[in-house]
Amino acid sequence: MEQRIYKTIRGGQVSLLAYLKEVWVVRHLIITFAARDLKVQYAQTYLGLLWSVIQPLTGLIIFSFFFQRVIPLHLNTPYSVFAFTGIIGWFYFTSLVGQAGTVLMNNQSLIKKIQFPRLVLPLSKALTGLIEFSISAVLLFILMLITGCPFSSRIIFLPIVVVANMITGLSIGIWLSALTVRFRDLHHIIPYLVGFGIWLTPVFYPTTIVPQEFNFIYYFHPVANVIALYRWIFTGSAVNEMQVIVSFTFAFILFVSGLIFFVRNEKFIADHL
Amino acid sequence: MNELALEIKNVSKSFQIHENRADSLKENIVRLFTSKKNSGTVFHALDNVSIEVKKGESLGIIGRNGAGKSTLLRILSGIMQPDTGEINFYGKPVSILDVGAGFHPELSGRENIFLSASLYNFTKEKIEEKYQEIVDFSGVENFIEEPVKNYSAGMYLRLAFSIITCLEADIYLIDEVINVGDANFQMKCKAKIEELIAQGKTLLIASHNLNEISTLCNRIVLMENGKILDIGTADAIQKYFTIAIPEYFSFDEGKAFHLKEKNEIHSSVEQVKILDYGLKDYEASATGISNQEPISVFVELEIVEPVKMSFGIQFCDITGVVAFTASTLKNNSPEIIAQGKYQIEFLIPAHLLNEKMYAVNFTLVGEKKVLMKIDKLITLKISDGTEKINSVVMPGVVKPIIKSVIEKTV
Repeated sequence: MEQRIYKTIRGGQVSLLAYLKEVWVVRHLIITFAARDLKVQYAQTYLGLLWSVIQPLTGLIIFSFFFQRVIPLHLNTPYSVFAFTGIIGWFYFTSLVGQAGTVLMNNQSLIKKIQFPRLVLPLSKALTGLIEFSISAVLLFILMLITGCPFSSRIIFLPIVVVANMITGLSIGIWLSALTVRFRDLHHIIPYLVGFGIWLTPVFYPTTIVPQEFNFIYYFHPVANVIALYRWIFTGSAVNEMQVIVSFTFAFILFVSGLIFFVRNEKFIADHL
Repeated sequence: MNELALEIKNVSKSFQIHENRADSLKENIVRLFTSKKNSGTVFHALDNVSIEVKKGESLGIIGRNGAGKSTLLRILSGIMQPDTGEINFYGKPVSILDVGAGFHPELSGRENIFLSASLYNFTKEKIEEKYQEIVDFSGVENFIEEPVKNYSAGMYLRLAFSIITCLEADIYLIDEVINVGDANFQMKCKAKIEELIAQGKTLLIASHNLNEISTLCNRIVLMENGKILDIGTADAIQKYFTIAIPEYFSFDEGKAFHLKEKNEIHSSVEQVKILDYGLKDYEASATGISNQEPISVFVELEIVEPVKMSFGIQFCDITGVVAFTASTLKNNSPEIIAQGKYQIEFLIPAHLLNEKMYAVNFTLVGEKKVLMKIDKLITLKISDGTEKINSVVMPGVVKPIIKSVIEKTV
C-alpha cells in the first residue's frame, strides 16, 4: 500500500525560491520575534520606546553644537533637519547591521531546540528597526514644523527610500549573521563598521564639502545615497542619479548574494552553535 | 496496523572537530593561502542509521551520552541536516526537545504562551482557542501576567509543559524531556506520554534511562558511537546493553566478574583500610556466575583505630536500581570494632539474583550516616548455570523462586 508522505528530510540544497516560500508560510514569526524583542528591550523601563529616539536625538544635539558653533557649516536648510535626515537613515542602517548581524548568536538556545527558517530572525530585526525608525521620523516631522521647513509632495517616495534603507542594512546584516556563526571574529568587527562608517557617510556633513576626487566612493556607498534621497525628499537637495542607480544595484547584488549565502549555510547553523 | 509512520534511511552526520577554537577566522584564512589541510578530525555522530517506525508504535532510543541520540532527534526535527540519507514522515511530526523552548524570562506567562506556541507553528486563533486549557493545566493562573523570571522553577516547568501537551501531531519526537522537574512533574509527563500512546500516536523517545524507556516503549533502539547496535524489545536490549557495552561496567568479555582496581579506591575514612575483596565459593561458566548456587562476597579490611560502624553491600543492576542491601548492622546501632584485621562475608543465597549484570557497592556506615561508599567494588555477570546465552530473561532486578500452582477449579 502506498502511503502519503507528509514530509521528507534529506541533505542537499534548497532553492532560494522554495526557501522564501517557507519563510512566507511562517511570516507570523517575524512579527512574533519583533514584538518579543521590543517588549523585552523596553520592559521595565519608564521611558519605554522613547529610548529609541534618545540616541538619535543625542547625536543631533552633539552634531548641532559642533557644526553650528565650533565649525559652522553653511547650508540652505536648517542644520537640525539636515543632520536628522542623515541620522535616521544611518541609525536604521547600523541597527540592522548590528542587530541582524548578531541575531543568530543571540538566539542560540532557540535555534538548537526549535526548527523554523532562520532567516526569520534577521528579518524580524528589520521590523523592530522600522518601528524605531518610524518614531524617529515623527520627531523629524516635529523638527520640520518647528524650523519651518516646508513639506513637499516628494514625501510619497518616502516608503521606497525606507525599503532601500532596509535592504541596504539587511544586505550586510544577513551576510554578517551567517558568517559570525562560523567566524566569531566578525562579531568584533561590527562596532568598527559602525564607528568608522559614520565618517565615510554624509550623516552630519554635506557631500558638497568632500573633494571631487573622493566622490567615486558614493557610487559604492548605498547608505550615502539613501541619506541623499531622504534629504531630497525633505529638503529638496540635489541627487546624483547615477550614484543612486549604481550604488543601489550594488546593494541589491549584495542583498541577493547574502540571501543565497544564508540559505546555503542555514543547515550548518545549528552545527556551529 | 502495518502502516509506517516514519522511515529513516541510511542517515549519516559528521562534524568537524577542530583542535583549537572552531570559530577562528585566522585558521580559515591561513588555509586559503597554504596547502594545509583541515586541522580538525571528523567525528561521526551518526553512521548510516536506518530505522522504521510503525504507526502507533512507541520507540525508545537509548545509549550513553554522545551515542548520537540527540543528533538523530535534531535531524528528525529539521534543526540539523543529514549529510546523507533520507527521512520520510507519514504524518505530522512535532518535536519536543526542550520544555520552555522559546521562553523569554522578561515576558509574562501569557506572552510566553503565545510566543512559544507560535514557534511550534500554532496559528493565533489556535492559541486563543487553547489558551484557557493551557493555563488551567499549568495551574499558574494567578501569576499569568507576571514575568516568568519571577516564577519558581516548578511553576516555570508546569507552564512550559502545558504548552507542549496541547501540541497536536501524529508523530512525537521527544528528547529527555521526561527527566526534568520534580518527581510529581515527571509523573505528569509520563502520564501524558502514556495517554498519547493510548491514543495511537507514534512516539520516538530518546533517553539514557533504560528503566523509564522500558516501561513506555514497546521497541528499543540501542545506539553507540553513532551506530545502531541493536533493535529489540526492552528486555532483550537490557541484556544486550550489559554485554555489548562492557565499559559501562568496566568489564572484560569472557570474565564472570571484575574487581575494582585497588588503586582506584580512596578511603575517606582514615581508621579503615581496605585490603582485599572478591567472590568466594561460586560456580562460574562462560556465561557468568551461576545463580543456582549461593555466592559469597568478601571484603578484608584492617581497622587501624577502634571505630563504631557497620558494613554493608548493595546489589544494583546496570540502571542503578538497588536490588537489595545487606549489612552487618545488628539491633540498629553499630558496634565498636577493635583494632585488627577482619574479613566480612556476605552470603547471597541461591535462586535470588536474576540472569543479568550487577554491581556491588560497599558502604561503611557510622551512626546514622554513610561514611564512605565505594561504587562498583565488584561487578558480576549472573547466568542460570547453563551454557545458553540467548535464553529469555525475565524482567526484574531479582528472581527468587516463587511457588506457583495451577489448580483446576471447575
